[in-house]
Amino acid sequence: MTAEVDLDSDTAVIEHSRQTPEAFAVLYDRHAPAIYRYLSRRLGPDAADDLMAETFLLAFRQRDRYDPARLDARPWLYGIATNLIRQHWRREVRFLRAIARLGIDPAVSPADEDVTARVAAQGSRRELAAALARLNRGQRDVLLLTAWGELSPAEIGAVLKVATGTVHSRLNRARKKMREALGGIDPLDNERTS
Amino acid sequence: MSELKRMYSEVAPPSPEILAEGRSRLLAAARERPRPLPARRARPERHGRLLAVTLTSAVAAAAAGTMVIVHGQGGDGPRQGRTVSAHEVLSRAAAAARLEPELKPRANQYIYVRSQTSWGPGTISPGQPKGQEQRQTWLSVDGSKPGLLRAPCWSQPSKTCDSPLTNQDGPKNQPLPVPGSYLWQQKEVPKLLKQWRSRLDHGSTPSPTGSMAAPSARPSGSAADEAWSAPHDLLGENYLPPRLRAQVFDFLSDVPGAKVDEHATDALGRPGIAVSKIRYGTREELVFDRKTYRFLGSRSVHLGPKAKITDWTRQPEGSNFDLMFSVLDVKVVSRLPT
Repeated sequence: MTAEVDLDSDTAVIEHSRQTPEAFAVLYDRHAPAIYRYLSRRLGPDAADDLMAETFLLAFRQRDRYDPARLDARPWLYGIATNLIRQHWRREVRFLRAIARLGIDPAVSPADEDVTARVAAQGSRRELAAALARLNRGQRDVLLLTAWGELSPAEIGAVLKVATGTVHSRLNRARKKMREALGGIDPLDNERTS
Repeated sequence: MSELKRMYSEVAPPSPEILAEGRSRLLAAARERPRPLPARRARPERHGRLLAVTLTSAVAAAAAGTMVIVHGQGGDGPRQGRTVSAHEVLSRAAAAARLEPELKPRANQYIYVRSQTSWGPGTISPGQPKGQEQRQTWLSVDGSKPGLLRAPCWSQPSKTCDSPLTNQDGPKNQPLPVPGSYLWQQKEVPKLLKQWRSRLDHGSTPSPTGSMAAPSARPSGSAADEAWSAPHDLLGENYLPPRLRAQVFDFLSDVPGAKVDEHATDALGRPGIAVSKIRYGTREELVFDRKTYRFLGSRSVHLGPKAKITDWTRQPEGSNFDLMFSVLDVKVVSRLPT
């Protein structure tokens, strides 16, 4: 039956899942790896194991509220994941501080890095983690949804339920704080590092 | 590439097992077919919104102290008039368990469990007096040191007796972690679940790699009945980490033939929803909070003729009776009590 239904867009999947709930798994297959990596980057892999599944369970239960005008469900899913992260914000700060203190990043698979790259990355990662830990929750959400979720300010505003102007001002303050902490390097600036 | 982008690009992707587990949980939720709810009538709120201190497991301990975990009473529980399946109850119990924090004991510490056992004819003859006792155990995390049981003395229940807990059946100088200990369970329970799953799926009995005596020593019955009974010992006077407890509930959710009783009670008299199967004339129940699906405890209801016993202050020897069990408190401690 599903073969006859066009499930190219996320909206189509969600619409179809209202009658055929199992169809929601298509959305999971599409976006679960990205949501996992976002959660793992923010809270560590242990928390991500559970919260990825929880994100999709919540999304499934809230699918009747999904705005069909949005063809891409990623912002919606990142929003749900971010709300779950907010329930664990102390854990996120502990996680970041641990990276800053020890230089060991549980979210990174050691096998994926060669030794030279690892040594080079550790220094900047510690500074970044320390700087991220000093942001307030709202600023961190906006900055990381921009950098890691690749959401636009309008999308972030919609998922966090704040005005787009608020997103801009939080992002500006977050970048300013990060620049100060990183010796003038803008964490979103593609030109400064390679 | 920006600094933040590089930090993100290094993140390891989810393993196939994690992806499969998440997908399985999603599909379990998708396959729950909620039936139409009856029209809701205004009725008094029976359960307040007060928070209840967890009595089952979720207790996290720091090196020097302990933290009591508090659970809310909200949740997406079964509503009056709606029948829930055993699969749904157990899947939700698994999801609830996964949200509980996990203890991280060190190998040289002890896991302390305080539990309550109640017995008697309660279910069959409501209102009759029944016996109950509280027990406290301290078990070495890796099994390297003797533990302790503190419970009412058999000869004089008003007094408390301490008994050392040692593994008398094991060989001396056996490698750590000792079978049955917390660290051993961390390694072996996933393997046991695979064996039980295989037995359930194929009706065969693969050779066990572990030596958990209780599950493998049970007499053979139907594969489903055996599968239901096998993990029960893990849920007793024991700390099974939430992650493993969730796996046990997931496994049990696939055992066919389990029944739901939405009006059960646990050893403390708390109302709950029970999932059960009958084996050898006894209904083996697992009881969960009706709203949060938190595991409350277990109940074993004897369905045959009752012994004519009037004094239930002690568990009668050699008789059949109902038995209920709930864990009240779990924490990690560094030493045995004096």
